[in-house]
Amino acid sequence: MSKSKLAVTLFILSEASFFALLIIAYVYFHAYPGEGPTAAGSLNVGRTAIFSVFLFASSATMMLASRSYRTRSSAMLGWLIVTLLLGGVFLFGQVREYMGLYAAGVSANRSLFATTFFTLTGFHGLHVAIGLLAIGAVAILAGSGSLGVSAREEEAFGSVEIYWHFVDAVWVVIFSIVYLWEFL
Amino acid sequence: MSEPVGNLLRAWEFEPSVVIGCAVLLALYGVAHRDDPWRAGWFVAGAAAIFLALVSPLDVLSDTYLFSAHMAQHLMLVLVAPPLLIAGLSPRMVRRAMKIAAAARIERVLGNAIVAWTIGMATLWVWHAPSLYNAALADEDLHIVEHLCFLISATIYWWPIVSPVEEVRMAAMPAVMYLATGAVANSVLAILLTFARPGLYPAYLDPPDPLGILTMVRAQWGLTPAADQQLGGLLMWIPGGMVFMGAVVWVIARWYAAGDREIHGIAPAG
Amino acid sequence: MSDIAAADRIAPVEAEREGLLSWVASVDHKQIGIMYLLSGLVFFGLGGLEALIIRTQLAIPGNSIVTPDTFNQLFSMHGTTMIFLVIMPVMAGITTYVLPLMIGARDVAFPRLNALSFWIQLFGGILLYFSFVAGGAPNAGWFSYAPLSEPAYSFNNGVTYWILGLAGVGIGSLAGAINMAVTVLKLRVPGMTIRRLPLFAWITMVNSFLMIFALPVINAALVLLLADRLLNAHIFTPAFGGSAVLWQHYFWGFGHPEVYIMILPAFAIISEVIPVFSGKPIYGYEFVAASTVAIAFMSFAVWAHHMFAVGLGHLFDLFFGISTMAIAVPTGIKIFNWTATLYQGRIRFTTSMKFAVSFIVMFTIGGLSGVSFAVVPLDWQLTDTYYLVAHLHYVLFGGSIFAIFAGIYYWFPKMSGRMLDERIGNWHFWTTFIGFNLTFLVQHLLGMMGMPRRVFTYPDWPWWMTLNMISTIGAFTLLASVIIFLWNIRISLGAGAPAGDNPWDAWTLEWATTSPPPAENFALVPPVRGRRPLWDLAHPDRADELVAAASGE
Repeated sequence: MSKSKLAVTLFILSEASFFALLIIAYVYFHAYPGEGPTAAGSLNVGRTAIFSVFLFASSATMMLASRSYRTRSSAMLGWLIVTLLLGGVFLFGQVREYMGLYAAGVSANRSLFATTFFTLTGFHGLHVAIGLLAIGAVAILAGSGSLGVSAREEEAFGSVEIYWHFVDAVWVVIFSIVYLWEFL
Repeated sequence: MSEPVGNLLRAWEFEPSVVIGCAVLLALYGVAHRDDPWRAGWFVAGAAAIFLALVSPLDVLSDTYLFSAHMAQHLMLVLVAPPLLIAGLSPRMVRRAMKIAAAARIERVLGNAIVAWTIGMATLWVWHAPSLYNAALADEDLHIVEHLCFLISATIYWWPIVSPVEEVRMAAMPAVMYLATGAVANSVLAILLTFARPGLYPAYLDPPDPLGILTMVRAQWGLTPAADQQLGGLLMWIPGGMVFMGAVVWVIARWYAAGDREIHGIAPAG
Repeated sequence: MSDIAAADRIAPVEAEREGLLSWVASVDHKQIGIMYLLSGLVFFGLGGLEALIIRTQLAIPGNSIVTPDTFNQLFSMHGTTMIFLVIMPVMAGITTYVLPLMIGARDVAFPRLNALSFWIQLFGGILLYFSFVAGGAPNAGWFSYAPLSEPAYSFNNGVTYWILGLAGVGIGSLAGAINMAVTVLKLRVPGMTIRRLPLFAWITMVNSFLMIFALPVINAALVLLLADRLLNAHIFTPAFGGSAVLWQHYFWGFGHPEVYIMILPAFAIISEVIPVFSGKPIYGYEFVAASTVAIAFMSFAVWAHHMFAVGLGHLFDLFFGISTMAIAVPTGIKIFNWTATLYQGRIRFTTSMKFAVSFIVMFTIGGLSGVSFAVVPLDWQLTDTYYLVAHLHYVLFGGSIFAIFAGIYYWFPKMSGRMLDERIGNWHFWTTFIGFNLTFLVQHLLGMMGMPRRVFTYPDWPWWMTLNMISTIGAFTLLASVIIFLWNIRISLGAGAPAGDNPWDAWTLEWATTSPPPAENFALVPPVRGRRPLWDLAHPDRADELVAAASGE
């Protein structure tokens, strides 16, 4: 494993730890809710599920972009851009969700559910945004012809890919715990 | 000896599926290893762990009275039996088995670190969801499925660590991470159980008392429903975590003993 | 290979060494290491000043040198400073300086990330201290227990500064941890297999993993506390359904691994210094290495021993009491290893070695008082008394700081090209040793007599004043020791004896280059065929591997 991929893997381990702690807080206050809005009354599982599909799809397109890169196919830039769009749709959906919640009076301090919900999904959204920036940077380099095929650059690409899949995997867990668990 | 204790010690239930299952396991082992009996002790120990967990009074305690007892039973099925069973396989037999194309393909998929880890941990988490756990307590067939799930998924989890065949084992460093993250996943679930509101699994709140030991359990052993649930979580957490830790130390000790060979995948630059 | 090739493409850096401003832009691990040490020294002075004011206030009962609220700010800042702005950065500094040299590398894996780590950490510290002039410093202790840290009980923004300062330090430390782990795993010179790693490098790597898993825990806690303070949320306020105990779980879930994060680098330093000045290789290398991993792992399973007095239930206390006693075992193993290394060695009592040997004793005392806390009923009596203050200072001062001094006297020649004066060093050592023990030994007694910690004054009860006065005298003795230490550095930098490449006749690779090393660290790296490359080079007939093979290992 190259040093870039190793570094990203270690970073992912620490971020997994971070999310685990936020998840614990969410689950704890799910079991011991105080007053105020709760998940059951506030969330729209179906709509979030649809937006989630976009995020999961972006992992697939990222893998396709990666394969194109390794086989020196010209489809790489296209797949990167599709990944960006899919991830962007997910973020857009999250913003819409937040706006809807705020409009309904569910702000971050209204209940323990609200605080932990916004913290958990908010930090995830932040990680998605950072991932999009990284992928965007790769896309710009590729588009301007600056992305070569040396071992180092392949490793860098692979590191971004690992990070993106991690962000996706975290959403699988968060979506299951916050949305599915409530309604299944 | 008081009557409740006597009742408890006598409460062995030779459940047919378990007896037959263990017998079949040992028979298959005997057939496959008739030329190669040196590691039989480990395998027998593993089978004994399964047998005792599911047949001894621990079983009736688990099914009827105590969440903590049920946890102890599951810990034997997940953390004790599978490593012993795997350790009992002979390298020669495993290599011969892997020459069969289908077996090798299955091993490649299930033996992949991420796959094995996910199967092991996800099974652990899913079966503790109250809806599933309570359903298994109520339905005997589902309960057997639950135990089979634990046994099989745990065997898959431990395979890349304990396998007698070196080629399929994980290298030392990745193995330590695999076990460390497994311990974390195990611990997080255990923490949730330890601190959960009592009554997560309502069957244990006011159980029937076929052996007449409930008073002894509640009063003399001090295991109120709340303490019982907490104990179950703690057992999974601390002793459970210690097993993972012991595995880490064992992996490192094995690695040192192997001599001056470079660990896979983490070679120095140049 | 790719890294060596990459090095060729990097522009030569010799010219960058000039001028103060070049340090700001530096990504050289040696300069960054020194900057860590310098900033650590400044914060050590600030934290020490806070301690002196505390000890002055406590010298006599009924004193009124400072107001109670100021006192609260002082001990909160003292603890936070010493832990996050002194011990951790200084250890990071020593590590970032020494580690690449020790493994024969040109720099760390990610030099720019290394610089980022330092500057973020520094700005976090500055932000924390800015609170003094921005309404008041944090006053809820170094652990900011809820609900005292919540808006309802806060009359200034101190705790918010604490959160943000810690966030900066935390990010810097995490980045540093990732950097060091990758450096050890990927940048070793060929021939240095993992089994040949110097223990300093091995322990550093394990410590990095510890930080990778532990720092996110405090980050999550800080985020939630910030939500409470800035967004008016109620995660940790029981009055609104939140849980103050949850803060304690989160904080100590980080806090306990944190104390190991602070002591493991000390173990790393001691594991290098003691063998060199005993003239023998470390006794039981594998045991030190394996027990380090055991400690790292187990450190996550003991945190609730800081919460025995919270009322979590006997079952809970029982499990954590047992795990706490268990974690003493791998630590004890190391004490045996170091002591056995000393046994029948040709001991050279340099200043570095004096600190190292007294580390063993001081840390053992601290460890023993720690194990006494594992006995839950004893803990109920002694927790949050001065017995605890004594314990933590024996392990963190008698442990970490003593080890830091040992490391500085050991590696100062390499960093500066000059030897620290041994005579002044002797004075430094003895004033530190006497001052430290005067200050903290009596606190065990004070604690057993019932004096709580974090109190700004106390009644005039029998012996309380005497013992407190002794402790204060000790504290001012420590002040003298620090002045002597600074004096030593000042003189030695100017007129110390030239060090040469290997003044200690040591064995690891950092001693195979000039003092100080050139920008690229090594002109040529010696071959590595064992754990002590320079020993093998100097004694080819008695090389470690030959000896091992002959004895049938």
